Amino acid sequence: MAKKIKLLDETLRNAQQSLWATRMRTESMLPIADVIDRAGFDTVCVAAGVTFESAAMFLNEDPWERMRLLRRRMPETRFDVLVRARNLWGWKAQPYDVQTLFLETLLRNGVDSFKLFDGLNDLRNMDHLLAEGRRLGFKVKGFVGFNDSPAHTDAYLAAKAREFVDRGVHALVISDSPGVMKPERAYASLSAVRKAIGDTELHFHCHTTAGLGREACRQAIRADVDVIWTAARPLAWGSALPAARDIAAMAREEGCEVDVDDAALAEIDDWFYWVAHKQGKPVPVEKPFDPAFYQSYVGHQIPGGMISNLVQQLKDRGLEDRLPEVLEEAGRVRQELGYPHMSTPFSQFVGVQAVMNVIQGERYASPPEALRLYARGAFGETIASMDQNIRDLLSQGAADINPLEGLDEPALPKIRAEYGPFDSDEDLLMFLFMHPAAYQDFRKNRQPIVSKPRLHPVACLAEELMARPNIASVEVGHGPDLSLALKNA
Amino acid sequence: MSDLTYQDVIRVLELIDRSDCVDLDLASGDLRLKVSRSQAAPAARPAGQVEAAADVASAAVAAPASAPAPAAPTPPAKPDALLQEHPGATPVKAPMGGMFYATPAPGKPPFVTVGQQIRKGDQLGIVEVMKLFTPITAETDGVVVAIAVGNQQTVAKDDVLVLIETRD
Repeated sequence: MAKKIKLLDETLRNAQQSLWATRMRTESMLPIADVIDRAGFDTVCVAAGVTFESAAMFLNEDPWERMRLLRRRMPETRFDVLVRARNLWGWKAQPYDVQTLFLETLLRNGVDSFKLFDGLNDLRNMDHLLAEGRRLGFKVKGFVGFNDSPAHTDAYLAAKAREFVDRGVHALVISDSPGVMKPERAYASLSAVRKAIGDTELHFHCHTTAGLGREACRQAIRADVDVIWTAARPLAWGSALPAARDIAAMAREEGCEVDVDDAALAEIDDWFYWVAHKQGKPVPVEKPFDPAFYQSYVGHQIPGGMISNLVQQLKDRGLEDRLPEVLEEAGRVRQELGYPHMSTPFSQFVGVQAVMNVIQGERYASPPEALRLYARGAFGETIASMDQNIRDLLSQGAADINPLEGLDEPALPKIRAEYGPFDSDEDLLMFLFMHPAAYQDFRKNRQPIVSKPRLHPVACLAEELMARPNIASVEVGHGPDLSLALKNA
Repeated sequence: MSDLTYQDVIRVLELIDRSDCVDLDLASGDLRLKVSRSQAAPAARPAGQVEAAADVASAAVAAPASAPAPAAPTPPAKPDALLQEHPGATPVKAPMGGMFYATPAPGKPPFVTVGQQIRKGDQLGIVEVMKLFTPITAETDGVVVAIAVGNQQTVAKDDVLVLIETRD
């Protein structure tokens, strides 16, 4: 029997975060939701911290409402979200009672699975969520983050995967979010992980920034993964993920069976071409491996979105010419901090500290408080050992901190008493996850989500043409049924 | 799927936008399209691009590090004037550039107010950069004689935030 490969759709979450600064509106998702529902995806990812925050902050949309509306139009498909360990979708660690409330709220809003991720791959930071997720009936996916570093060996990845499986996850994800896993490495790593986790469902996620994604996915398939994360073509490749139809075709080339509806996938692609056109978003071209880019990137592995932020910080000070120095310093800081996963919050630790080290002229002169806490173990065990001198400098000799300290103390009664009353649990969680000022702005500015039907392409054409001021008249006919003549007065 | 796709529409629009003055008569499959141009009208500006420009602008404003500006920021006092007014005071400076928060949460009272007696280690405010919150604490006992920046105001490294007068 042929091996089955399944696709997990990230168009609405990871892909639009990578390419569209997470600015896709719900009204662009709903018209195609019924097609996504019948396309045969294993799962559709509908949210993570960034989509959640961006929806509220920049689009004035209630992200919970988005979730419910998608669920209503996609009754058949499993939904998942990415959960950043005990920080959930916010910027600080949340106690156990908040963690449980978060899972219950997800369930109520139509999410039935989640991927569980910690930037230090420290299982202690995820234990409560994992156990509660199982108790509540979620499909729980353990997510092991890969970065290129001397610490991220195949043995390390396999051991972390095994730890997750021993704790009862239903699936295991190996994620190359910086997109630096070379194809031969993908084969070796995923084979090692497969051996460690037996029959447990194995996922592979990668970004295609350096042009390694396509062949890495091929090798992952050969190494016996079950699920590949993909996106609709207009939001695929570039700094996003591989395109769904390309991976489906490749898996078939490799002799695997892929149970997706190809016509539905084509229809989804077509729709998002239109959305991209309307929003003025370029569609990435799939590029081959770019060794020069790879070399300049692999030292620091700072996410692309953050590099633009660093550039802005340097520009504000008239120092943009020092970017190469900052990126080189970031590589050093990353090593000194023990190779934390280059995503929030650790990519900020590395990036901000690198900027300060360069512009202050003295290294670690005024580190953010969070970095001092990191050195004392408050975020968990580092992936590799920290540089001892930097660790001493940051901790200032203060005692180690147990990352779990205080998490078992109920916080909800206090939060409700001090900051309540809240409209709902959803509202309370938004308050906890958002920047205080952003939360207040959202309360003031939120708009109802508009749900429009999918306009027929002919109607789109007529509408666009008539919006152009230098057009005198348009006549459109389509088949025997439609004939339309418009004249600009 | 209908025989005319959204991608076809995009291609037709690209064709039309390539020139301002060409009339178009197109028949393809079930589609018949006739477009006549007016000669005098200004150059076309596709709807999609207008939206794109607005989107880029809002994206630039909304960099992840910057919280939305408050509706009515407190006007900053001039630090130089403040220093002259309180020659003996110790300035507390921003350790890094970022956004200054005078209160622990919106609607909450500020950490300190002018005239307040404080002790070494008391929190005076927060400076945030890329979601990393660094507490600003007093390095001496004393009295707050001036607060030089408003709540949620952007500060540069070494900007004076608070003036503290030590009393013997």
